[in-house]
Amino acid sequence: MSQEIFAKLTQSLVDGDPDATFEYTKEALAAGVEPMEIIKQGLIPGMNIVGEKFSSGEYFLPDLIIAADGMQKAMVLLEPELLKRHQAVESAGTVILGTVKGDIHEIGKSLVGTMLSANGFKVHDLGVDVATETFVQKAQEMKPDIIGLSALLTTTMVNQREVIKALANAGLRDKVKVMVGGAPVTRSWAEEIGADGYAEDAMGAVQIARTLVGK
Amino acid sequence: MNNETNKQKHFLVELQPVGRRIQIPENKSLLEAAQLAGVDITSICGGIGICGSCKVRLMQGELSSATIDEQETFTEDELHNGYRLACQAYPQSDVIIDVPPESLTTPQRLQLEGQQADIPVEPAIRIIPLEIPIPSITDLRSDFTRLKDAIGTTISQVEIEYPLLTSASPLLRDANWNIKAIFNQNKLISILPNQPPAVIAGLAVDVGTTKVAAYLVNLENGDTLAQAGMMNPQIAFGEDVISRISYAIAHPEDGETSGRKILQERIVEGLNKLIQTMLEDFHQKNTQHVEIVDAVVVGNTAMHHLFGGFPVQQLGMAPYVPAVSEAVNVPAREIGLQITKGGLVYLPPNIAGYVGADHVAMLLATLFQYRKELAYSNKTVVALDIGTNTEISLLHNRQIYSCSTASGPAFEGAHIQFGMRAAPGAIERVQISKDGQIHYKTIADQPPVGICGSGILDVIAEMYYANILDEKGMILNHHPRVRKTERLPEFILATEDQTGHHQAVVITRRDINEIQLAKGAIRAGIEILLKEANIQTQDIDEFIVAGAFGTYIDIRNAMRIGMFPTLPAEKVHQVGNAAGTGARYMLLSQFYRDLASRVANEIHYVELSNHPKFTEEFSKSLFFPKKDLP
Repeated sequence: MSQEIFAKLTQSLVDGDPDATFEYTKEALAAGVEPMEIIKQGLIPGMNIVGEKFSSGEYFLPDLIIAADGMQKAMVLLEPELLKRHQAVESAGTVILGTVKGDIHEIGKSLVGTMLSANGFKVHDLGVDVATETFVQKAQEMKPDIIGLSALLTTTMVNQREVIKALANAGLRDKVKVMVGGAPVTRSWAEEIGADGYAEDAMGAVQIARTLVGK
Repeated sequence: MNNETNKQKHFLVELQPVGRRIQIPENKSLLEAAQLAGVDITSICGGIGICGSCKVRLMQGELSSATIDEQETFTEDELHNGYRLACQAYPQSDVIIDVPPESLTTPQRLQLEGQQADIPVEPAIRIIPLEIPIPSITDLRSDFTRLKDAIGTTISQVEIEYPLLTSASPLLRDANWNIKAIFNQNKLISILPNQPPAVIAGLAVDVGTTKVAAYLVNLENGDTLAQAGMMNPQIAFGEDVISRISYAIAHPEDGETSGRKILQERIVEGLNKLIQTMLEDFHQKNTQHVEIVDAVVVGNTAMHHLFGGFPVQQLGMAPYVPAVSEAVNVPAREIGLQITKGGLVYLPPNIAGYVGADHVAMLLATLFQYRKELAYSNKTVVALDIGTNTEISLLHNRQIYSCSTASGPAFEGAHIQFGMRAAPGAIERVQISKDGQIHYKTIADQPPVGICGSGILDVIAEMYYANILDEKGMILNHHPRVRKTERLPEFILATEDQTGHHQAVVITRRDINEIQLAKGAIRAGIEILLKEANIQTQDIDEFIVAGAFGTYIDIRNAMRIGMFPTLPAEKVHQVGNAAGTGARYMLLSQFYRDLASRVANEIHYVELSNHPKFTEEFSKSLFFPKKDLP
């Protein structure tokens, strides 16, 4: 029974049918399947297939966005259940994520967050238009392994540099890895501002994050 | 008369609503007649009767009887109502033929062409003829006191623009004190001799990020005297709005090297050239002096700011607020625009950082004048202008909701492997017939070298409906024109031996992905406005598509890929450069300027980038919808 629903969940993500993902998740919970198992055996395999297809060039951004939407719909149901059970997803590392100040682009950053979560990272998404000081403050509080900075405009990517400077000023720069991304961001920009990692897309971000935490 | 019997019979073919007439010998088809008349009827299959794209309707007269191809194309009802394929029908008498807009390769750009504005002429400027007493030894008033006295109480609290103070005295004498005084509100901006009479004209401009359109308009009778267009000279500093703002930010210094200043100079220089071109055009047929005494310039908020010399840095950062949103009058001499010395340039209000004065102008031309009512329509109307940013408005219950959605440059050919702008050799129309044959039409009938926005839209819709694409945008392998590559299959639209550069024009999965993102953004914008107004697709009474790209696209294909909601064809209107039309209205009528301020004030602006529903609507709109269109 469980195997069947896991397969359906996986397939719904691969097919890009968020409503089905949501319904199967509901169904699985109603049937008494443990939320952690739903994530591990149903959702994560699905996201991984989508991610592989994306990396191999078979899938494109729309497929990824839609799968992430399905994943997020499922998590809306699963998170309260996990909390009830005092369970947390096993963590490959902690990531603080946000779009820099002056920039309110959401989708790319959230996609990275979803893909990181699906790959076992604990993600704190600070949202969009995040003040430089907020990144520093959260870094002090949460002691993440990685800070991810998104910027989608040539006018706002300069604020990625500001965050890195501010981390250095707060004495945190050697305690946390910084990765940057976004449409106008390039590898050479990442190097210029002293970031530790750069990825072109959400799947690349997972690879980089794994390398940065040494796993 | 006897000699006539050897000669072929000729018939007169009248093509409407284009209004072209042509005499043709009896063995010529309607399609050939149209080609001879310079009316570009779409003929994707090249006139062999299989593509159905050259659909016309017989209004009067007689044609050869319907061929088998025509009987297959049309229903009995349609045939009964006079529908024919232009390539298959031969006149048997003088005929009047209706050419529907979808059969024209260059759809009639109703509001882009030199159409006369059919609104009352009541311009912001006032023209006051004056006979001024000549100075004499018994009348020693200064030139300007004399002028003011002659004006009397017609205008209260007359102010004289500085450039006139420095130049008017010889002018008054040359005119023998018999003049026309031109006022903008209470400001005297120009003095013209009464004889010989000059044409008193205004300049209306739509400054697009990519293209600029200018119109020279007679302010006394509303006639459009000339029009001209160009690529925006600022393109050299960045293709899109953000890169130009970045340029301005990167060169913040004052003076000569200020980025903002340089961008402003480029656009003003360009406009001055357009003014010269239009004046030369006009003077080809007319010797009258033309004095341009007023100007209206519309553009998106960034173009507006760069033209007016306003700061743009804050437009590049959230929350993207304009420096100026109210309507302003900028002295032409301050920015170097070559119109009359004391002239003022009117810049209509902006709505938000990414919904500018051009959208206000477009709304004036569509929601109001479009139906010749000077009040909000009672109908529910969606009006949009597709570009790198697509501005969308929804009128419902006399409320206007507006947003801007980041549709990207894919429809301008950017990020598409064989993408190009609409230029000769660009594939602009594509059809895949039931037997799998591919038909296309290029601009200027040149051998294909690439594909422009309307062609990309067509090819994706046609591939999807021909089952070459699945609903996720993946290319399926079972069409002879699909070829395998190292990574993914691609679709060969034009083969090596067909193209102008002897390499196949192909459509890749990546191209399709770009269009999915673009059309998804547009559709999500529409859906969110509908949600804001709490209504459904079926509540839409009219759907207005403005702008150059919107004029050329096949609306049905836009619906087939889900870029637009599915609506009956009669609800959709392609209106051409409505922003340019709105600019002309504001030039010709103070009423429209007042209306612009009212509209800009009353609009409910909806910010999409952080809208809670945006990601969901966007992700819903990325795949292709059910195939429910013919």
